[in-house]
Order: sequence, then C-alpha cells, then structure tokens
Amino acid sequence: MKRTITDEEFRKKQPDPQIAGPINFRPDQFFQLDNGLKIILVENHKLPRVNVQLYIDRGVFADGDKAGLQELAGQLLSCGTVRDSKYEWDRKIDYYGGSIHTTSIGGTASSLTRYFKQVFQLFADAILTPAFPLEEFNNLKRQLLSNLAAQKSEPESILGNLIKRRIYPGRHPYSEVITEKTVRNITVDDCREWFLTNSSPDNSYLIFEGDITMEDIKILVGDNFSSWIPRSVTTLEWPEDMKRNGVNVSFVERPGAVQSLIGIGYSINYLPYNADTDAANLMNSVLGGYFSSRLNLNLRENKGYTYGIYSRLTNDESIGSFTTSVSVRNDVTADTILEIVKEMNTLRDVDISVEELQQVKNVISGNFSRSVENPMIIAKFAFARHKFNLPEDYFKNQLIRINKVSVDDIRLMAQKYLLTDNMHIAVIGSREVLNSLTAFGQVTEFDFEGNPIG
Amino acid sequence: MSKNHLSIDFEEYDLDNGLHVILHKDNTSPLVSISVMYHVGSKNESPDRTGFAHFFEHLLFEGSENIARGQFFNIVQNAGGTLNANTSYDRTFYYEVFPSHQLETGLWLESERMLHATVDETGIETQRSVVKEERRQRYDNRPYGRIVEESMQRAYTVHPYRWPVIGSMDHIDAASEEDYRNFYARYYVPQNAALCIAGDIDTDNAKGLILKYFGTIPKGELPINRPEPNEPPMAHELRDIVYDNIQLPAVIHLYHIPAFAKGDYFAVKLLSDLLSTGQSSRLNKVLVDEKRIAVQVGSFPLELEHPGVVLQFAIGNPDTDPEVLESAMDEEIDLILKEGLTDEDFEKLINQTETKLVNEQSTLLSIAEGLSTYYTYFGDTSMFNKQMDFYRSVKKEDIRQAALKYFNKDNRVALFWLPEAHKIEKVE
Repeated sequence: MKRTITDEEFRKKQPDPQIAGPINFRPDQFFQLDNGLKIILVENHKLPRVNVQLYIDRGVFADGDKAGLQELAGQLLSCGTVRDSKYEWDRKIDYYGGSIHTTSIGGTASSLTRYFKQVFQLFADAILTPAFPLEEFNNLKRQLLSNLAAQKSEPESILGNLIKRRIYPGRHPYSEVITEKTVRNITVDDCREWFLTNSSPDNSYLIFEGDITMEDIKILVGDNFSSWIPRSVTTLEWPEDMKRNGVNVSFVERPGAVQSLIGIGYSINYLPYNADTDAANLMNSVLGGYFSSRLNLNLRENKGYTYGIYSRLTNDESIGSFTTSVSVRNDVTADTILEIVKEMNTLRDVDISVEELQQVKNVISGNFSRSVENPMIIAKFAFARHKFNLPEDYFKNQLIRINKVSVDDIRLMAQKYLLTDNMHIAVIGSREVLNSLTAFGQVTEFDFEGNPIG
Repeated sequence: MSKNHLSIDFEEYDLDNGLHVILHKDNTSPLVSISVMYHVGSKNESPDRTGFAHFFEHLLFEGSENIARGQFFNIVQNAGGTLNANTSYDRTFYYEVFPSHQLETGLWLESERMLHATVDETGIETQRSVVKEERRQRYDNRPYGRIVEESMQRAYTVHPYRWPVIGSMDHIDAASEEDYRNFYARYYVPQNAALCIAGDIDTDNAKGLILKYFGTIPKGELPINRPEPNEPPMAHELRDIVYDNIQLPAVIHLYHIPAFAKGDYFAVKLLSDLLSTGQSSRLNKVLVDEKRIAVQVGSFPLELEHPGVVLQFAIGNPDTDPEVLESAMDEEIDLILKEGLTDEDFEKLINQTETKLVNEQSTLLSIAEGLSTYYTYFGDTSMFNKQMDFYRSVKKEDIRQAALKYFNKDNRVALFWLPEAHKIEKVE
C-alpha cells in the first residue's frame, strides 16, 4: 500500500493559532550597596540553582605591546586567592559541583542552591583577594603561547586576527592582536597592577538569577563585597576614526585548505540602544540574521555553496562593526563574494516587500518573546536599563517598536550601515583562489597574525 | 524536602498506529516544545549507503505534499518559533519551540514530515552540496575535526559504528531518488517514532490535536533494519598515527565500554568525570597544572545505544613528546587502580552529577530530548527520573573496578594525532 491516506481537508493548510497570551515578564529587583556596587535579581524558584554574573563596567583599555595582558589578568583571578591555593580553590568549587569562570571584566558563578553560599564566597575571593601567583602566571602564559601556536592552523582564528587589524583604527584596543611577542612582554605585576587599578565597586554590577531572594542576597553580598573600596578609574577615550580606504582585499594562505573562509567587514559608529537599533537590527536580519535570510537562502538553499552564512551588525560603546563570514569550496570563492556584495547592494537600492518585512518582524518578535522566558535575559534587560538610562518600559515596548519599522526605514538603514564602497574582504584559503580575488581590488597577503608579507 | 526535585511529571501512551506520545505539562511560561525522535541513525544504514540518516535530516526540511519547497522554515519563523534537528549513530531528532498558542501548527508540521515529506531530485541535489560543505567545514577543514571518525573506524571492525554519521560523500552522490524514497518509507513511520510535547499545554486539548494530526497516519509496512550489537571484544591494543594540519600534538585513547545507561555505564561515566570534569579533576590537575605538558584534556563517554566508547584525549604543547603525554595519562589510571577513590572524590562526583542533571532540566527542549531518548533506547521513559538513583547506586569500589575492567590497554585504540610537519621531518 502506498502511504497516501485520506484527503483530509484540515491537512491542506496551516492551522489558525489560538489567541496569544501576554508575554510574561518576570519582575526584576534592584539594590545598591554602600560602596556603590549595583545588584540586580530576577527570582526563579523552579530549579534549585542560582547563577550570578559580575560585570565591571570600566570602558576599553589598550594593552599596547603587551596584548593579552587583560586576558591573562582575568584568567589569573581563578588561579589562587589569599585564602586558597589554586588547587584548594579548584578542589572546593568542584566538590560543591559549582562552576566559576573569571575574565578581565568580571565573571560568572553558579551552583545548586544548597552550596551557593560557599561558591559565592569563592567567587568573591577571586575578585577581591586574588593572589596572582607567579607559578600560575607562568603556567597560564605557557598555555596561551601553545594556543597561539595552534591558531596558525585554525582558519577562524586567522580571520579574526586579520579582521581586527584591518577594520579598526590603529592603536584602538579592538585592533590589537595577541602574538607570541606581546605575550612574552607581560609580567605578573602588569596583571596585578592593571586589575587592581581598574576595578571598583561603583562601576560594577552583580546580576543574579535563580532560586534566591533579595533578602538572602543582601546578606551574602554584604558579607562578601562590602570590603571592596571604591577608587577612581580613568576611563579612556579612543579615536573614532575609521579606516575608509575603499575596498581592500586581504589573503592568508592556508596550504591544503579544502574550503575558503571568507570574511567581509568594517567598523562603524553604532551605539547600543540608539534611535536606529530596532530598524537596523531588522535590516541585518533580512540580509543575514536568520535561517531564511537573503544570504543563507541564496548561498545555501539555492546555490549549495555553503553549510550556512550569517551577518552581524554589532553595536558597541566604542566602535561598532558589520561582519559576515562563510566557508565555501575553493572554486566558488570569488562568486560567493560577488553574491554577498550583490545582496548588500540590493538592500541599499531596492525596497523590500511588505511580506518579507512582516516575516522578519515575526522572526525577531518570536525570538524576543521566547528569550524573555529565560530569567537571565530579564536580569540583563534590567542591567541595560540601568547602564544606558533606558526608560522603565523600554523592553516591554520592544514588540511595539519592531512593529512600527517601515519599508523605507529598512532601505535607509541599509544605506547607512551597509558600506559596500568601504569594506575589507579577507580570504583564508588555498593559493589557487588568489588570482580570482583581484577582481575586487588590490590584494595584499598577510601572515596568520595579520602582518603584511613582503 | 520530600519531593525529589529531579523528578518531572509526564504521561505517555501509544496511538493505534504505534506512535508513542509523551506529554510533559509545565505552564510556567507560554512556550511549547514539539519534537519527534525517530529511531534511525547511521547504524541502520547499509555499508554502501552511509550518511543516509543525516542526509534525511537535511532533506526533511525541504517540504511536503502540503508545504511548498522552502516554506517549512518560513512557517515556523512566521509563527514566532524556532526549529532544528540533529542526527546521531542511533536516532534522529527534530524539534520546534513555539509560543504555546501555536501548538497546532507545530503538530501539523511534524505530521506532514511523517506522512508525506517531499523526497525529490531538486531537494536531493541542493542538500548534496550543502552536506558536502558541512563535511568540509566541520570535519575536513577543521583542526582535529576527524578525531571521532578516525578513532571509531579503528575501534569497530564489523558494527556500523565504524562509519561516521555524516557518511561518505560518494555514497550520497551514488544514491538514487528511489533509494531515498525507500529509506523514508522504511524508517519515517509512526511505530518508529516518539512524539514529545513539553510545556504550556492543556492536556486534553493536546491529546485531541495529536489524534487529529497523527491518528490516521498509516503504520509502515517495510521491515526496520535493527543491527545487532555484534562487535567482538578487542584482542589487544590497536595503535596508529594520524597526521593533520595542526600545530599541537595530541594523544587519543578510545576505550570500549557498555552501552548508554546499561550495566557499568554509570560507573564509567563517574570514572570519566573523575579524570576530566572540573579543574581539580585528575587529568586537568596533573597534566595541565602540575606537569604542564598539556593545554587541554578530556574524557567522556559517547552516549550510544549499543556498546560504545569513552573518548579520552590530551592536547600537548608544541614540543610535547606524545609518548610523555601518553604515559602521564596512563599513570593517572594506574593511580586509580592502585589507590581507588577517597570519600571526598566520590561526594564531589555526586554533587557534579546532580548539578548537571538539574541544568539539563532548565529548558523544555532538553527535558523532551531526555524523555524521548530513554523511551527510544529502552522503551522506559521513567528512567529519565531515575538517573540520580542510578548514579547514587554506584559504589566507590565500582569506579575502581570500572577502571580495571575497561580502561586497560588491550581494550583501546591509541592514536598519536600529529602535525603534518612531523611527517616531513621523518621522511627527511
């Protein structure tokens, strides 16, 4: 029997949805310690666990000829404290089944509710009384150097270095590439000095989510973070000058590559939560922000060139960026670049249809509605409201704002943020593709760290 | 607290056509996850048609009799949902997460996929190219990307775990439209599937809709190929060298172990955690922090329906001698054999396991996948709620015994994964 049943009518079209219920925004709570430390909580007692994130909001710093300093300083926080050696500290966290991760801008900690008090104390020790042991510093440095060596073979790392060097103005922190040479310049004292000088409770946030109350948090934070003394941190300003030199093409050879990794990008002024945010985000979604975006439909579903392609328009307080990257088989490298540029230009020149705009609004609204079910997202909204002085109802009105974006807005955003006349095209791949790249502009060859060759 | 917080409520039943239904009601958020786990993976393939199960995962987003080509994604996205799928050696899992008022659309989509998906030349041709690029991007062009494939093809000599899930591109090219249609008719049938609805539902309403969309889908009539767990034990260690476009040498050990959640599996899992979960774990502490001969270590069982493997690895510094790395890995196992575990070791493992199980309950989707997996492999969904008990029933000494029984040289494949540059030096 053939597996065709029934001409059941109801199967022929998509069923109508039921009436949508309201989105359920959990309440957030705010508290500030005497030393200025800001605390945000979203309670969620469904599972017996607590998550916390510390964010030290101190602007961006350059490492100069010591690139990698901040990364090492952040990791060193979890390498021993005044109270515990690294091994003792690790042993305790693992015993409680908890996890702590530290970075130069703070870190995260989580555990089952019943061990959270202990895990939180270990976290506070790492932030406030790190020991910066020389032995552990040398070990971290060794690991970083090994990982840098490994990057010579990793196309994504090579592209990352190249894009940093090429799209950000010289001396801006974002243009810095960590190399063997810069890592060798770093000392443990540099790390200690940098972290202690540039950390202060009055520019920091502790963001909690989970099975805990504000009453408990006040005690926990009071016990562990009151001793943190505010200090003035000099926030540095960086040049906003972008490199605007027309279209540049960079190439890094990766012998034997079976695919080209292509990156296209540039830096751009695009602040968080500015007047363009919702429309610009929709515009990027149309181009490459979701599965049925123009780039993915064209290059994956129609041409079969790639497993997938996405584009990102990234906001930033210092300098934003537009980037897209894609892996394709060698012989379609140039054609892929052509198609990406074509899709960007089409969005600048031709109005999108009302239907496509509605589809992308539905996608973005759906993503938003699903994401607010995660309490950590609500906590991060509360954080963003405080940090960027957003209106109390900013996120509650997000769907309304998305809905107002028009066809004209999308074209205007494309013209403002898709700069096909001023972009960097980078290709990491086999030498056989090099000739085909000259069609796009002057090609310069670089090594894996993003230094020009020859 | 009397209620075990790791236990979740669910109910389950079969439709007349054999489709298994699992419902987990949780009204805390207006979301619903709709998933179908088909009991077909790469181990059901024939040796000259590998990669079919994974290829189907791609193909079954192409459309159906009532869904035009390319519209599957649009329908889900327009309804505010998200979707994806993944394929393993043993099963294929499709899912959508929707705002709960779109439950019926999710059921309609999955019923279309099960009843009459489009399997035609246009879709096959496009997905052939996409899957080839997936293979290049995820495996061939990525440092260490072929570790699982190269280890498994040596660890298994007769069992279908010997070929990779993504399969052979030649087989994908050689297959005809009819091969694909037959695969669909054989495996994508209600009696080979578990439908799981988790989230904000009214149970009676959900049951009614499930019957409406799935009740009249006919049972499949072709026999389902269920391979035997027929891999003979290894006689002695198998050693080899693989050269790759990498900079840091690595040592890979693949030990044969019991199937997922069977027999000594839980003891082996805890043994693996003792070696590599957390910074204080044995391999991390000794190889990375004390001896400083590795940048990364790992040890984890692949969760396989038939007797499987633990994959253990250490990645060295550029100048680390792989033999030194290997001895250090072996010494840690010898130490467990000699001294066993302390009470503190054991309590740590239990705390880490409990944390992991709690975290796995943080999304509807991971609950749905867990419930469906235990049903699919064992026909016993309730095992999902007994996982912590399984781990608690393991004794300290069982973990040492597991090291003795499974982590021995005659039971392993050992690979030195070396930079291409080493090969050239050797030739010169």
